[in-house]
Amino acid sequence: MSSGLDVVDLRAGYGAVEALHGVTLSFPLGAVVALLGRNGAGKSSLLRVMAGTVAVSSGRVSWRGRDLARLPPDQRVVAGLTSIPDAPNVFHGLTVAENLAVFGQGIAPDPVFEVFPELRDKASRLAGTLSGGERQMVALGRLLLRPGQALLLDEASRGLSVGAVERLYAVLDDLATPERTIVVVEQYQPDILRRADLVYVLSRGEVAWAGEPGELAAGRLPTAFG
Amino acid sequence: MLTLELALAGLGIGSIAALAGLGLLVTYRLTGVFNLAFGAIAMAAAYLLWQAVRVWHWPLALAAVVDVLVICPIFGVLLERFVFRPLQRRAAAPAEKLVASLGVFVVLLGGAVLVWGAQARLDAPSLVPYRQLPLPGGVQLPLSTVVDLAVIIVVGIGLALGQRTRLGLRVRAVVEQRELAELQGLDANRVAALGWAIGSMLAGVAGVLMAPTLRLQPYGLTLVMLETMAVVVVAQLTSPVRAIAAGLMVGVIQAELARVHLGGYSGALFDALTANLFVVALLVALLIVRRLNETGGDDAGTTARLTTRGELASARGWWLVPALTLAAPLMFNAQDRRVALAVPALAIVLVSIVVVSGYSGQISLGQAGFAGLGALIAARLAAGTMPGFGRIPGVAVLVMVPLLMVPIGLLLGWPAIRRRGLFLALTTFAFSVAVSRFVFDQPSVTSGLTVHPPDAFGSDNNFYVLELLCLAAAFLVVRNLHNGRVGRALIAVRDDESGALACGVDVRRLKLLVFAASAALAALGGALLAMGSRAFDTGAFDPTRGLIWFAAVVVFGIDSAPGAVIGAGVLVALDAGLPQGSSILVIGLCALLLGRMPGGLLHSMHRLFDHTVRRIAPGIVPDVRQRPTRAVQLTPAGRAMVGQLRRRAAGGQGVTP
Repeated sequence: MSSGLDVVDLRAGYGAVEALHGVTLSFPLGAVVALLGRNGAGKSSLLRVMAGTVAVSSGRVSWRGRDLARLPPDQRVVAGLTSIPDAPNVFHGLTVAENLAVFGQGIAPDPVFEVFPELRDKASRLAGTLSGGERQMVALGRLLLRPGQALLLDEASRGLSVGAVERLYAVLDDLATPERTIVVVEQYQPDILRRADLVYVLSRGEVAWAGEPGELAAGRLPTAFG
Repeated sequence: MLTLELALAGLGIGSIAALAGLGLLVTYRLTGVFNLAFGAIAMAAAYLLWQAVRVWHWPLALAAVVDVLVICPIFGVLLERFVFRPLQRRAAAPAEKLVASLGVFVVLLGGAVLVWGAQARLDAPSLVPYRQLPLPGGVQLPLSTVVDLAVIIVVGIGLALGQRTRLGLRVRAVVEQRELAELQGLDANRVAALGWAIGSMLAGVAGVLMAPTLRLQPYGLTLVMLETMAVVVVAQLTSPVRAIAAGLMVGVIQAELARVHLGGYSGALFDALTANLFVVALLVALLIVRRLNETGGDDAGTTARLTTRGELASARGWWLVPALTLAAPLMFNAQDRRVALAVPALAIVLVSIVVVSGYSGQISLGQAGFAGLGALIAARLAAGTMPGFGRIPGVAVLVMVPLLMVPIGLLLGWPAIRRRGLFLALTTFAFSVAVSRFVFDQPSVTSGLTVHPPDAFGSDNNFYVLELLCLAAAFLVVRNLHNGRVGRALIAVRDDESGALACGVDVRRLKLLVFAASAALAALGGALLAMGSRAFDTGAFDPTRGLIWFAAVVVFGIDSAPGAVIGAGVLVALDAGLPQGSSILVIGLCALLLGRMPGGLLHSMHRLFDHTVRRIAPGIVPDVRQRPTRAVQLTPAGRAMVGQLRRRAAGGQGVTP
């Protein structure tokens, strides 16, 4: 099967509030997909549903043809999904090194410190005492330790300095292989459009626009996103 | 002068306290839940051992192994699976977990009384043979103390080392942020179940080791455990070394002080302080310790997650239910009406919890203390024995009681300014324990007290009407606290304290206001309760009452004043119609199910009703949740890109941008 992550007619929400009203989208293998939209459009909810932390009310989520709906989040990690949520993204009561060890499972944290040298001196500090940007670096460390075949990044660049964002994108460039799907949620980050193969725009829990980044850049932004 | 013999005797008590406290601490670190039921599990394990050895005549060793190493861990796993996992699933606040553990506590206690009776048994099987070990200097140390100390050291070392292992790391990650741990591939359910299994096993160990020394009695054994919370507070929920040291030290000091004898009133007070040194230690620790190192996220402080958060606005006819609950007794016969006198009084007490915990989000487990003080003050004012006051006539008492309680409410509100969540819960509970031990239990304060309804309201019917008037006044206060500017500010504090501060809300003043109002209401309710039963009964204001009341309010909807009225009605009715303690068992069982009924029992029933109507007759209740899907097509360029990607993935060719 060549399909990557697929969601079909997906409905999900929180208690009585439905956040996604029947979303059908395809995130093919080998693609970097940018998921855009305003606040409350349902971008993060969609990532959470795919990662398994928000339950599906109806519809389908599949990864490489395998139905994910009944799999708990940890099994999805085993199946190849690596999700980096927006917040909380680190264990506040664990040190930086321990945070990396939870996911690393025996892999030395050196690759993380190479890309984010800011963390090297803070390895033994509690993650709760770090700045927002540093916490984000710790969270992104998972991409450097054991990246899965599907990466779900929620506002990955939030809080990072311009230089750190550059390094993050360089890492993503390295990770973008034909066997991997990368989904990046961004609020506003023009850089991601230069790297994305596909752009989906969500609005009020529905797909408002789907196309190629070039079209967005050409000023054909739909009113839904304006 | 310290004596070695007394110190060694104190070591015996101290090692028991240290063992219980250490077990509670380890359970907290393993599960993220401050398990109020720890003592109840220990008690149940001790009773099971008694049952197996004394009734079924199992060999002691076999019975102990089955009890502590099989049954207790299985019980822990069941607790995790059916009580705490549903709570964790929806990232429940510590307050919710606290209430659930309260449910376990209540159910186990009720069950034990039901099965084994409330009487004390002196033949608890002892795992450690009774033997005195001679020490140099001619003093002797009981073998059981040595075993207790050995277990403490093993558990302490196990905790210290275990945290550094890979499994320990996983446990900490799951306790800290369960969802994030799952996103990192950890099987959080398994890890949490392991934590609960070990925690329950430790409770079992503590129970079977302690029972022979303390004697087997459901309430007694459980309460001893609650008192050892001092040890855990001193350890700030973290340090096993400090927990052990604190437990041993308090035990030794208590034993040494037992030698000192003073006369007169100060002597009685001194004896009370010595006998309840662990309560004193708890109070002192709570005032000295700056913060508890709680696990979990940063929005851990309030009861906000227990509320409905206005998810479903109440229907207009909703008020009919509490109104009918209150009107019905007017048509009862004399005997039933006498019973029903407790309903409006209890409703006022429960409403006082709604104010402090439901509206402003501050957990208060100490309302029994306020209610009891209210009853006490009412009795003394009416009798003219309140220091500084003459004899206060009739209804004026009911006006004075809440006013006199305001300063005491402010006093408790003051530490609450900086305390939140579990810390505040323990502080308020300790307050109620202290009031119970040092005021209600003192014969010089409470003996020979009588209390009557005001003369003009002597008949049950008239007194019931007076109670309804008081309840109406209470509702007026509540309404003013819940609506308008103050109400909005309170909700802001409940949902996000720092956010409220940032918006210019005077959080300090609000908290003081709420604690004062809540204390006044509870005192009024307590005074009416005592007047209705025509007696000042210290048992009615026992600290465990406060726990049960809090659980009841949570079960019936923590931010619902009408729910409090219905809750009071249900509690009184259950106790009148069924064997004593049934109401407690029902509340406990409901509290266990909180994970499955967010927002409380009534809110869940309301939702179920809505859901059913929508199923049966769609269209009557508009379904605002779902909207029809609009199909959006990919743009031609987008379609081409998807096709390219598909081909590339199938054939392994690159894409030309």
